[in-house]
Amino acid sequence: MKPEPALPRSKGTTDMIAASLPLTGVRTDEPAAASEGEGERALVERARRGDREAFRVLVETHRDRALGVALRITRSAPEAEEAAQDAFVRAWRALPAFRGESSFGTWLHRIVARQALDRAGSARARSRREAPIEAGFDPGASEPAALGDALLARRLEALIGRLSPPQRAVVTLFYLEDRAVEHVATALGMPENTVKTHLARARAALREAWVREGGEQP
Amino acid sequence: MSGTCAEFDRWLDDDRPATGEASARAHAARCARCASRLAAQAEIDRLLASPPLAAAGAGFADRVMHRIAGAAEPAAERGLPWWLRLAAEPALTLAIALAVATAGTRGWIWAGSLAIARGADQLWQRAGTLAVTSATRTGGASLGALWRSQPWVAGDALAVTGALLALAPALLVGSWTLFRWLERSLGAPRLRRAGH
Repeated sequence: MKPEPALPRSKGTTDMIAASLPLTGVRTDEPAAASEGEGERALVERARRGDREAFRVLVETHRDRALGVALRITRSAPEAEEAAQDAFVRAWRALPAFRGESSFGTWLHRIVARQALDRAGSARARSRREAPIEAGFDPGASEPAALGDALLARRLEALIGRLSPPQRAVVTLFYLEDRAVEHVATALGMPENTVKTHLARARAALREAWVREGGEQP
Repeated sequence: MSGTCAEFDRWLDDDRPATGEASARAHAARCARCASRLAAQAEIDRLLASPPLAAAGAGFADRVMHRIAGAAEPAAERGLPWWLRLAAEPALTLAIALAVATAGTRGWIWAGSLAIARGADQLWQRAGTLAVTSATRTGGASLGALWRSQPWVAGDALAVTGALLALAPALLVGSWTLFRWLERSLGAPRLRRAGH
């Protein structure tokens, strides 16, 4: 497999988006409420029985991560918001079929990624990508855990923005799915070989751009 | 893996599989270019291992819950104007379309549907007397001849009935598609923007 040519350096929309992107990419402090475990399983079970308040807690717990996944793939705040909302609505409808083989968060990420990828390639999404990325977001809620990592993460987001939507979706899910290509393929409805191709090209492009632009040094 | 930079890159692209790791690391130890790629990939992997987060705006959960509640409500309560709900109602759309088709004369829809119905009728009649292969061979020719000799058969009750039957599936699918499109383009965005 031949890697794609290195990404051209540009100070275009992507960089501007990355500069204002409220993604931290490095925050590890998960929301306290409904974390993975008994509490979340109980909430999921209640939601499966139609308890909307339980589902609301799940939404509030997972909304930032869902929005982050959607934003990374769509690169558009309005499209990310709609993709994340769509994903939660679909999750609600599909909850009776949720068997708990993976965590609710993992299951939700797959839905979000699929929704975001569907939106990312549409003409409507392209036209809306110029919209201010801050719209609808609360930057104060994404305080980075470490300034150095936050800068690196922001630089990486700029590079991710130069990938194609399928490459962004594959890269994002790959790391959320414990690097299991088969899970990414299932989640995105792609053949495994296609996922491997997207992944290899994305990794090569990110790596080359990272080295070229000195991103490995904070 | 032997020791070329291209093979080292492929090893990195493939997420550093265990097979070939020793060889790759040995190569990186003596190649500054590949050592920098290995460090870069490790840093990228470390950053990507943390999930991306973005701060959802105030009211995000409310908007989601409102959409969930709205999806369960009857269409009459979804905020669409009455005339739009009537237009989007599949059965009503079908009825109106059939009425228009019945009342219309010599329009292109009328002419086309009649030709289809007449051709189907001819083929049905021929099937009883001709072999299947013969009917297949002459079907196209008979349709063409029919069209040339008698394109307007508005007074033919059989043809009219056939035309309506031929149109019904297409109209049914079309009206449902229209309904879904209207629901998506007018109903759902309105709910999504409702910020309460």
